[in-house]
Amino acid sequence: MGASQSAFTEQELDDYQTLTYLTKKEILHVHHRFASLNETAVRLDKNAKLPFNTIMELPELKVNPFKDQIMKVFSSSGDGMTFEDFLDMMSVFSDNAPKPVKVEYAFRIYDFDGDDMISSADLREVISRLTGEGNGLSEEQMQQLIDNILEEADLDDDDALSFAEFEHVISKAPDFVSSFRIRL
Amino acid sequence: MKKNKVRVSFSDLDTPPDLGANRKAGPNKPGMVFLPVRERQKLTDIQTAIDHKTPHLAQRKKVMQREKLMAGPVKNLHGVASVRFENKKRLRKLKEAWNSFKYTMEPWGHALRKIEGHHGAGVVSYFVFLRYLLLVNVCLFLLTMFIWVPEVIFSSNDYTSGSTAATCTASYNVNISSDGFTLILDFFQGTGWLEQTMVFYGYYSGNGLSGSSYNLSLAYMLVCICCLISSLILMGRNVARSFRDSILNEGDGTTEFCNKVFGTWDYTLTDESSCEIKHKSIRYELLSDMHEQEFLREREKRLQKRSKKCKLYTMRIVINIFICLVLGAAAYCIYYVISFSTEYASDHSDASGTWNELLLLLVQFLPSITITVLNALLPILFEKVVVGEEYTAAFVIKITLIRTVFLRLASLAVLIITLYTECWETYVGQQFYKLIITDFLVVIFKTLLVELPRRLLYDKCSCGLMQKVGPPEFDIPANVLDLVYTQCLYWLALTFAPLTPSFSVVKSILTFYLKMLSALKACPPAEKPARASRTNHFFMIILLIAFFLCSVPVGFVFYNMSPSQGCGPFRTYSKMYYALTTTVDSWPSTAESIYELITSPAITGTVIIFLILMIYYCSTLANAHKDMSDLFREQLVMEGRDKQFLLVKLREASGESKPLPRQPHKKPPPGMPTLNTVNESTPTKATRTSTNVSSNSGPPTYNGTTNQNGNVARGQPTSPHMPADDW
Repeated sequence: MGASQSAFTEQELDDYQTLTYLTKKEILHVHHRFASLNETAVRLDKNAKLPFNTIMELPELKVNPFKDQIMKVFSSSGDGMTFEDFLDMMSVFSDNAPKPVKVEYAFRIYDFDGDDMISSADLREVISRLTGEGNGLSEEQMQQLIDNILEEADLDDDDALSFAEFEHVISKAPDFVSSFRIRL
Repeated sequence: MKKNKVRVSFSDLDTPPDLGANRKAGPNKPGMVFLPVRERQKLTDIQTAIDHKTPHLAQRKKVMQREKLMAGPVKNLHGVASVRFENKKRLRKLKEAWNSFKYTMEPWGHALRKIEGHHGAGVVSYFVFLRYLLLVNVCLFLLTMFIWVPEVIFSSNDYTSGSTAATCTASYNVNISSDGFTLILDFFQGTGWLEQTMVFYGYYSGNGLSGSSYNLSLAYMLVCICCLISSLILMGRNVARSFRDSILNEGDGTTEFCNKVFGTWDYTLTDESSCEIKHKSIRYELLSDMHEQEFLREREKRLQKRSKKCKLYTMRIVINIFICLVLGAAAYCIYYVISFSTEYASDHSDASGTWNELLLLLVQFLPSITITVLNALLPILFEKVVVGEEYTAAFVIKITLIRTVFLRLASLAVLIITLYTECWETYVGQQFYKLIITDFLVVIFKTLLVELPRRLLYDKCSCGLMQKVGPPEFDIPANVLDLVYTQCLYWLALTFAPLTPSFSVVKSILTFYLKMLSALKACPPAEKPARASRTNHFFMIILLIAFFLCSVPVGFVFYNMSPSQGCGPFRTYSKMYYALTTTVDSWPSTAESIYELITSPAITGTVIIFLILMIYYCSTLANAHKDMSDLFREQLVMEGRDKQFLLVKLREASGESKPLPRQPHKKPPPGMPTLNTVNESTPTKATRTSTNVSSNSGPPTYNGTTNQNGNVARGQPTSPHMPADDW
C-alpha cells in the first residue's frame, strides 16, 4: 500500500473518487491490485496499459467465463487496459455501484456481437459459457432454454432482447445485484 | 426521468469549450447563467458524468476536466448560497470520510472475501447475518451494563447465605462445593458458585443499593425492555431493507429462467475448482428447472382427473396431520423430560460421588439435550415425508423450513410454559444458560469432531462407503436457523440471566471462526446453489417472527408474574412492573398525570386505530403502485408493437419485399451502444426533444472521442432503416 500511496496526488485521488463509486482507500487498493499484475510496468507508469492477457491474471477474471467480453467493454482503447479502465471496471463491480449501472454494463457484456440487442445467438453463447465446456446440454434442451428465456423477456416478439427488455427482466431477477460484483 | 436529465446535461457538454465562462447552459435550460445556480449546475453535471453515462473512466475524466476549464474564473458565492454550498461540500467530505472509515473498519471483511471467493455469495450471506447478530448482541451487552455496573460499584449483597436462597424457592437448595470437578460441573450447569454471581437474576439486590439513589429494580426492568426495543429497531431496519429489495426484485415466477441465466454467475468467485462446480451447478439448475416445468405440466394433466386430485389432497392432509402429531409428541416429550429432570434434581440434589454427580449432570442437561436432539432429527423426517406431497421443488424447501422453524419455536414454548408454571427466576435463567451452553457445544462438536474428520476421511480414504457418504455440506438454511434459534435463547434468557449478552458476544465471535473453519476447510462448495437474495429476506422474517414470540413471555413475566420474595431486584414488589408504577407515583403530579394520560385507554386506543388506518393507507398505496407497474408493463409491450409496426411501414416504404431480419449484424460503433439504447428506450417527449437538440448542437465532440473509428453514435441513425430517435 505504501508504495502506491505516493503514486497519486491528493488531487488525482479526489478526481477518481468523484468519478467512481469507490473511496480513496479502495482506489489505492485497486491500484495495488493493478500493480500486482505487472509490477515493473506499473512502476514506470502508474497508468500503464497492460495487455488483456495480463489483466486476465486477476483471480476473479481468470475464472470468469465472460472475461473477454468484460475486457472488451471496459477497455477504452480496445487493445489493453490502463489503470483507469481497470478502476472503472472495479468501480462498476463494486458494492456501491447502483443497479442501473450494473445492468447497463451487464447488457454490454452479454451482447456478444455488439448489435445493441441480445439475440438468440447471444443467448446461446451466454448459456454455453455458463454451463461450461462440454456442457451436456442437448441441442433440443438448449433451444428450449432459449425459447423459455425469450418467452419470459421478449415482450415485443422480435426474438431478441433490447436494453429496455433486458432492464425490465433484470429488475425482476433477484440474484443479479448480489452476483454481479467483485469484492475489493 | 433520470435518463432524461442525463441527456440534457450531455447536450451541454457537447458545446465547444470556447464559449467559456459565458456559456449558456443549453438551449432547453434558459436562465441558468447566474452564478449560484451555475455552480450547482456544474456539480450536477459532474455528477451526471459520473453517473456512468460515459462509458470509460478516461473519458469521464476528460469531461470533468473540461467542466473545470469551462467553469472559468468563478466568482465567490455570497450569503446563504455560499453557506449552503460550503455545507454541501463539508457534508460530502464527511460522507466520504465515513465511507472510507467503514471500509477500513469493516469487521471480518477479509475473511468474508475469502469465503466468498471459495463459496460464492450464498454462503457469505450466512456470515453476514452472523456478523449482524453479533452487532445486535453487542448493543444488548452495552445496555445490560446499566444493570451490572452499578451492582458491581454499589454492591451491598445480602445473597450470600444458603438460607436466603432457600426462601427463593421451596424445592431448591444451593450447595456450594469447593472441589475442582464440581466447580467445572457447576460452570456448565450454572449452579453452585455460578448461581450466586451476577450471571443470574437472584444475585441482584433490590432498589436499596447502599449509598446511591440508583433504582436498580427500575433499571433492570427498563434495560430488559430497552434491549427488546433496540433489537426490534436494529432488526426493523434490516428487515425493511431486505423487504424492499425483495419486493423490488420480486420474481413473480415469470422470469425464472432469465434470473438463472443472467443472475447466477457469481463474479466474486476466484477459485478454479469452485468455478468448475459453479458451472456444474448452473447446468444442474437449468436442467432441473426444465424438468420442473415438465413435472408441473404433467401434474396438471394428471390432476384433471378428479380421482387423482382427490388422492393427492388426501395424501397432503394425512401428512399434515402426521406432522402435527409428531410435533405434539415432541412437545409432550420435552414437557415430560423437564418435569422429570426437575423432580430428579430436587430429589437428588445432595448427590455425592463422581458417578452420581455425573448422572445428576446428565439429568439436569436432559431437557437441553432432548430439545437439541429433536431439533436435529425431526427435520430429517420432514424432508422424507414431504416427497409424498408432490409440491414443486422451491415450495418443498420452504415448507420444510417452516415446519422446522415451527418445531424449534414450539419446543422453546413448551420449555417456557413448563418452567414458568414452577417459576423461580434463577432456575429459569439456569435452564436457558444450559441450553445456550449445549447449543454452543453442539457447534464445536459438529465442526471439530464431525465435519473436519468427515472431510479428511473423504479426501484420504477412497473406499466405497466414504465416497458414498461424501464430504459434509454447508447447509445454509439449517445454519441460519441455528443462529435464529440461539438468538431466541438470548432474548429469552436476558430477563433472568442479564449477563447473557456478554456470553453471546463471545459465542458469536467463536462461532464465526468455527463456521469459517467449517466453510473453508471442511465443506466443499455445494452443487446445489443457494440464493443469497431469497435466503436473506426469508431469514430476516423468521428472525422477526421469532422475536415477537420471544417478547411475549418476557412481557408476561413483567406484567403478570409475582417475583420471589427472597432474592432478585424485584423482591419488594408483588408484581414486577410495580417497579415502574411506584417510580411514577413519586414523580411530581403533572408528570404523573401525563404518564397516566399516555397510558390511558383513550390514547392507546386512538394510536392503535391510527396505526391501523396507516396500514390500510399503505396497502392501498401498494395496490395502486402494483396496478401502475402492470400498466407500464403493458406500455412496454405496446411500445414494442409500435416499433414492429413502424418497421413494417418502413419496409413497405423502402420497397423491400422480403422480411427484414432483425438488425442484421450491422455493427454500430463499439463505443457507446448502450447510450443509444437507453435513450431509445425512454420515448418520452422530453427525451426526444433533447435528443434532437443534442444532435443539432454543433459537432458532438464527446462522441468523437468515444468512437475510435470515427463514427458518430448519437444523433444519427444506427441503421439506414431505423432512425434512432423515433423508436
